[in-house]
This record gives sequence, structure tokens and C-alpha cells, in this order.
Amino acid sequence: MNRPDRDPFELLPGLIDPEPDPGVMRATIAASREAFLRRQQGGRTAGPGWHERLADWLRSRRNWMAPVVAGAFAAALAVAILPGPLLTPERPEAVGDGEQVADLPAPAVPPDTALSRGRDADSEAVAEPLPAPTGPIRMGAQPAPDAPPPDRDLADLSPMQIVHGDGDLRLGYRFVADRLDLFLLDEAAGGRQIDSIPVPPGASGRPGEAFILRRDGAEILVVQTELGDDTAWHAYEVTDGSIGRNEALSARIADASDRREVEARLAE
Amino acid sequence: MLAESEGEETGDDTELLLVRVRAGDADAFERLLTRYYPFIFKTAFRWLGHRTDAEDVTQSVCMRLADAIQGFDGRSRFTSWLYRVTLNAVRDMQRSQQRRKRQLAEVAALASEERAPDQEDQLRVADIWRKVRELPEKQRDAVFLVYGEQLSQAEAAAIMRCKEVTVSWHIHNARKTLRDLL
Repeated sequence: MNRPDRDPFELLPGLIDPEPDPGVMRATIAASREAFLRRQQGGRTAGPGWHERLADWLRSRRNWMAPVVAGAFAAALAVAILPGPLLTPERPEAVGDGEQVADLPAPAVPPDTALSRGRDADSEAVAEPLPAPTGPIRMGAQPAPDAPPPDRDLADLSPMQIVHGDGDLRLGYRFVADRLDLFLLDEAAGGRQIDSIPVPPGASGRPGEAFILRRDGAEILVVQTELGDDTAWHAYEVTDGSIGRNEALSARIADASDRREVEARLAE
Repeated sequence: MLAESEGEETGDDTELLLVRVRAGDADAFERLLTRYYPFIFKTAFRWLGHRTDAEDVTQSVCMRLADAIQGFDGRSRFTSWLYRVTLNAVRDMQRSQQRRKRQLAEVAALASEERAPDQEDQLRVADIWRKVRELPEKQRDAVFLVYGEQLSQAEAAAIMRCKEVTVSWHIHNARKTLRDLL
């Protein structure tokens, strides 16, 4: 069949869609209904407010906050940074598989048995028992006050993936147009964007290993990012009430072969 | 088609359901999902060309709707909003799981599996879809929405959050890109 005179795009509606599997459909709807109900109930029985929980968290993180609280930005920092996971780099394992979650605050997720078939581990929707906000609902992580405006095409609703670093360190990431946005996550306060990395067209990427190390009395967050076939290490630190990439340190460790080499280079 | 035609019910019905959903009515939420589940699944399938991935995306979207539905403010059509939610989930899958190569390899098999009588025509359609899926993202979006979903360029522009002329430009470029291939 050769119809050079016909616009090939006009043929596109000719695709015959398959019908959804009724069993999968019923299970998915039932699971989503449960999540909806849990969300409603969670909203009515919310515990301490966000600010109260944040204050509790800050009280438990005095050591980390001490250098910052001394400044005039302490209150803003408390709302903005929340690097709780930075303080407990106890778990020695490297980053695990990514998990797909809804944007924060995430809905509760049904038990696996609610779905009619299994899912790949790296695409598993996971329960993120984050508390319901007391104010208006906002999807997605909160951008920094000085962050560029989000890409409205995707930033609002693209699901966030989560990877685990050392201890309870958790990083979120998601693609927005041609970049990979990284977030530092904390259960008490959601996510804080720490970086936005350009991604070549067609490439994919994700954070790899992530850990905290101390250097000159300061805590440095180190993240390995995989972009296509390449990997690069980046260093992040708290500066003037925000957490961001330290370009000098990042350049020093960018091509390190592994964590040990990163630590060695930063110790120099 | 991007229309509220899956359940032969009107936009008014959807509006009423949405009012009840916002009030926390789980039955209304379930009805809304039941009505739009095929829409989500078929949309995902068209973009991904793979049933299992389409089901994964549909599950992801449905779970997210339990929370995200409260964020629908009614300023756009519900189907346009839902289309965007689905499209975001599709893109996330494509990017994060690197399944595209496998999908592309399977589209041909799927074409013969799930297509009907005129095999030659259907293979031709599948071939076009496969090539369109390989276009740069914006070009692909524009072609899918205008030709695959048969939306007006204004509707496509609303979903892509750009101007109509930009949609035209992406389609023009897509045509140039595919001229030799098709």
C-alpha cells in the first residue's frame, strides 16, 4: 500500500485501541477509592499542624541548625530547608531502587493485594505517610523563593521518584522538560529543591548514590547523578539559609570513580 | 478522542460528580474513575504502544487522582486536565524506566495482535505511530494531540500550554522530520 498523496498524519486516528482489562480496572479503581477515603479521613483527623511538627523537628536538629539559627534567616530557613535526613547518615547501604510516588503530599497506597497483578520494583507506587497539610493543598515540592518559575508543562503533576541514600536520607527527582530536578525530602515538611540539572534530549537520568560527609565542621551532601551513560558527583551545602550546589567541590569530585575516591578528594 | 464520550454521559454529569468528589464523596469518586478509566488507559496506550505499560500508567494516574482531584479548579475541561495528568505520567515512565526501546520493538507485534481486518493498513498506521513516537517531545505531542486525538490546534495548545502558532510550528517541523521516513 503506497499512498504518497495522502497525509500520513491523517492515518493516525486509525489506531485501534485495546480495551482495558476489566479485572485490572476494578482493582485499580477499588484501590484508588481506598486511597481517596484515607485521604479524606486523614484530613479530618490530622494531628499536629505542619508548623508544630516543623518546630519539633527543628528542636531535634539543634546541632545542624545552630550555625544558621544564629542568623536573621533562621525562621525562613526552618520553613525552607528541612535537611533532616542529612543528620543521620547511619545506614551504610548505597542508594536503593527508585520508587514512584505521587507528588507530595502523597496519597496512601493500597496493599499489593488490591491490585490484580504485580508491578516492577522500580515502578512501585509506595505509601508515603506524609501528613495532610493544614492549609490549601499544593501539589509538588515547594520551590525555593529564588528558584526560577517552574515549567508549567510538567512541573505541576509529573510524579516524583524517590531514592534512598545513607540512613534516612531521601532524595526525590523528576523530569521537567529537559532537566532533572532534585529534591531533598523530609517527612515533616515535604521536599526542598536542591538542584536542576540539564538533560540531553532523549537521555534519562536519576540520582545514584547519596550520602553525607563532614568537612571542616560542615556537613556536605554528596549525590551521584546518572545521566544517560555518564555519571557525575555533585556536592551540596547549606549557604545563607538555602541548600545548593557547591561548584568548587562539585568540580573536584565530578569524575570520581566511587564514594571512596569522593571522600579522599574532599579530604584533601 | 479527547472527549467525554467513554460513558456516553454529558459534561454536566461530570460536573455534578466533581462537586460531590470535592465534598469527599467516595462513591462519586469511584463513579468518576469508572467513567474515565478507559479514557486514561487508551490515552496511555496510544502514547506508549504497550498494554502493560499503559496499565501501569493508568494505575499510577488513578492513585494520584485520589489526591490530585482536589486540585482540579474547573478552569479547564476535566478531560483536558486529565489528559495532562496522564501525559505527565506517560512521560515519567518513558524517561525513568527506559522502556522505549522495548516498546518500539513490541509495537509491530502488537500491531498484528490487536489490529483488525485490513492488516496492511493497520501495519502502515502502526509504522507511522512508531516513527511519530521517535520525534522530539514537542513535535510528538503536537502530532499526537492534533492527529492522534483529533483535537483542534487551540485545544492542543491549551494542553501543551503554548500558543496555537507554536503547535503549528511543531507539526510543521514534525512533517519535515518525517518526510523522508514516511
